[in-house]
Amino acid sequence: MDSQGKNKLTDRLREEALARRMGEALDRLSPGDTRECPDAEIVAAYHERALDPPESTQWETHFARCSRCRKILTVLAASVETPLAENEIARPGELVGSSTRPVQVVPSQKIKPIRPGTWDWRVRWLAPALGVAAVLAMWFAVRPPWRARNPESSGTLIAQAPKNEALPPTESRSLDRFSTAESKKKEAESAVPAPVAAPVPAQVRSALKTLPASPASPPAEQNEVPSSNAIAEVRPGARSADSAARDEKQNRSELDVAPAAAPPPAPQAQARIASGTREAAGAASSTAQTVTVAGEAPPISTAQHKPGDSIAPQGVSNEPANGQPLEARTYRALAKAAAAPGSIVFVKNPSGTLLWRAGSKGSIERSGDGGVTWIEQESPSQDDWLAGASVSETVCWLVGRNGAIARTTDGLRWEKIAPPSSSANGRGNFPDWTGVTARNAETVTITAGDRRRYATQDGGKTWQAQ
Amino acid sequence: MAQDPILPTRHVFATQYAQIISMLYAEAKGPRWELPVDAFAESLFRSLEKRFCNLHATPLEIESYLKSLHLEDLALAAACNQGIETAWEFFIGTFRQELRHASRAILRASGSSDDVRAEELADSLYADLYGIRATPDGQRKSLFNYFHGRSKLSTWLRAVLAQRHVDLLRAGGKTTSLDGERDGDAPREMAAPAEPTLADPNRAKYLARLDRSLTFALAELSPRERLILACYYVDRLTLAEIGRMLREHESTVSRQLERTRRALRENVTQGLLSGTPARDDCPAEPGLDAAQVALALEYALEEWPFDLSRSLSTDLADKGAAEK
Repeated sequence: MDSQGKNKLTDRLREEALARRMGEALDRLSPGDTRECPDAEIVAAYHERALDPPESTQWETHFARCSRCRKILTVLAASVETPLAENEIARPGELVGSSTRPVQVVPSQKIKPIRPGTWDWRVRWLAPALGVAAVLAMWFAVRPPWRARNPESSGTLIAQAPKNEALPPTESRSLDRFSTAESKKKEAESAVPAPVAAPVPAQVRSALKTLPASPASPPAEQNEVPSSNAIAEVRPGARSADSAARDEKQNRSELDVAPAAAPPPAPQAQARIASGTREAAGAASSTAQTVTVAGEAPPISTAQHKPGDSIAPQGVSNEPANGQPLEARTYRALAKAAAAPGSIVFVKNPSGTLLWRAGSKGSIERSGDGGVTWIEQESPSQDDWLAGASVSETVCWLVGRNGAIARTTDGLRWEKIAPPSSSANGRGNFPDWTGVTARNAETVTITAGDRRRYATQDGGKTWQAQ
Repeated sequence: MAQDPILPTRHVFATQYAQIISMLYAEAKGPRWELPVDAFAESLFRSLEKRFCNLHATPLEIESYLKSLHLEDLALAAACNQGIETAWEFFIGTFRQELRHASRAILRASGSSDDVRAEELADSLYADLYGIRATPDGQRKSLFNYFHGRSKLSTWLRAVLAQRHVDLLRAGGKTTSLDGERDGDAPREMAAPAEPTLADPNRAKYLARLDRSLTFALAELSPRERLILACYYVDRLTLAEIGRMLREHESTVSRQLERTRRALRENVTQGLLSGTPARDDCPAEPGLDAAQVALALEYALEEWPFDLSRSLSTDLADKGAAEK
């Protein structure tokens, strides 16, 4: 290396060293008091370059010294990037129109001669499959599976997804969306693909007649599916049938359930429809948006048509769908939750035949007839119960105020489980547990009101912070 | 020269700017939510108060500022704050999905792909936005109170999510690495520090001079340059990540960083050559010659306890006040 190159390298190394020292020194000046940090509005405005130059400079001086603020800005920038899955979700008609790449002409390969009868066989298979698909689409449109027919199981209070699951609207779209109510309706209607017109095979029609009135319980093997308990949930009312297909598609992915997208062969139509019903039921119920009610209002657990989920407590509307927009009920439920002095946690087991009810002052009751009669059970705690989750007929977890945790493994006797010792504050007080997700009798995750999470895999003997 | 008028009071604002308020109310589509004009005016005033607190503002500045706000978002936030049902419905319908996407992206950036946690993070906002937590006087206090329309509502919500996420991580003591791929930028890892030169009685003196020169050089850097230095060398962000954060192209950030490093070296070199004036309890120091400067910079490559905290905070405060 010649001398000029050496000098350049030397200069470069010195520059790096000085710059690194400078950066480290800046970091050591980090303000310990977060009150100096700007609020979310300033951070957002800075990110959008909406601050005046003097303001921007002022806050950059702070950001240069504050690792917390720099981290927030970095995370904020990362949050703008939408997940790839969302980018790939096509709105009807847009993908085709937006494609600008020329269609590649692939040289045709040698075409294999179609054997006589193959085409006939395919048509024979395809027609009933298309028929089943059409029937399913019509069934979802006419009789949404999440519309509860059994009033006892109508406690699902999940704020449902908005009717339009498309990407967030731009400003121009937002101007259009709510200019009239009709435009909303049109938008919802237009998003539903038209069902394939095909004759409904006889066996499909008979299968439809045998569909249960209410969504079937999931099979026993799904007990291992972790059951999550919503902190506070709002009852889904009548949803537009138009949004069913879109929501089902999304929720299917959320549930990690195999999508029933491919038209099943005709002989299996009946079984497929039944499983699709369960999937749709589970999917529909998980459409709900969980809402955390923190602070004074205790959380409300509601039932979902999944294993180990709790159902709606008293005090929250169990009115059947009455055609009102879902978001209105979301709002009213939130208002009720805010006003409710105390709430009861309902926990339903996967089969739906057993019900627990837990509430204030540690009360626990059990019902074997779907909530008609209740039998008091001995509770290991005097604290209010705030959330629960059941994974089987005999296994149920309850969590509540002041670190209260209880478990039953036989459905009858409740044992107190010690909370994680590291969750206590400086005064030795345990937090209020507002959420619980149970996988089985040994594995559970609990959530505190301040969003801290702890998990155990040995029935509460040891806990790990998440 | 007449002094700029101070910010009007709430009542004066409502009367003196009534026409502007009506115009902005229409632009914000306030009637869509049946939002009372008074409530909208109150939101505008709070935004004004936040922006110009303790500062003087002319009517022209006030009007210009109010027109720069995201008025529709402000009206929506005000309506939600008022508890108007239709506004709340619209808010949930419009922003729920976006919040969940943002949460997933935030957690992915932290190396987590837990969709359940992402939903919890997003849904944790709703109770605070509604105002479940009552203040000591029993009033509902909505998070919407803190939105003043300077940014888009969606960006503000993301910022709130980002703050919560970062504070949770800091409270949990977790350090997350936002390191991604090094987008081909210059290697940050320097060669191993050179062995300290032994038996040089002037080493401590040179390092002290370097310390002071760096202090002065830092004061010469703009806040943006300091921010880029901190992001690159402390947070170890890539140029692309810094670019996303500052809404600039990666190549722009790269050029700025190069310029900053070069300026830093030149300023330090100049400072060492010219010496430092007397200040506080430090006497004036004569400049070093070229060989001594080269030696001092060599020492900079070694392990070197460099702490600006004592002197720099004062300098930065002075500089910041001057920039304001």
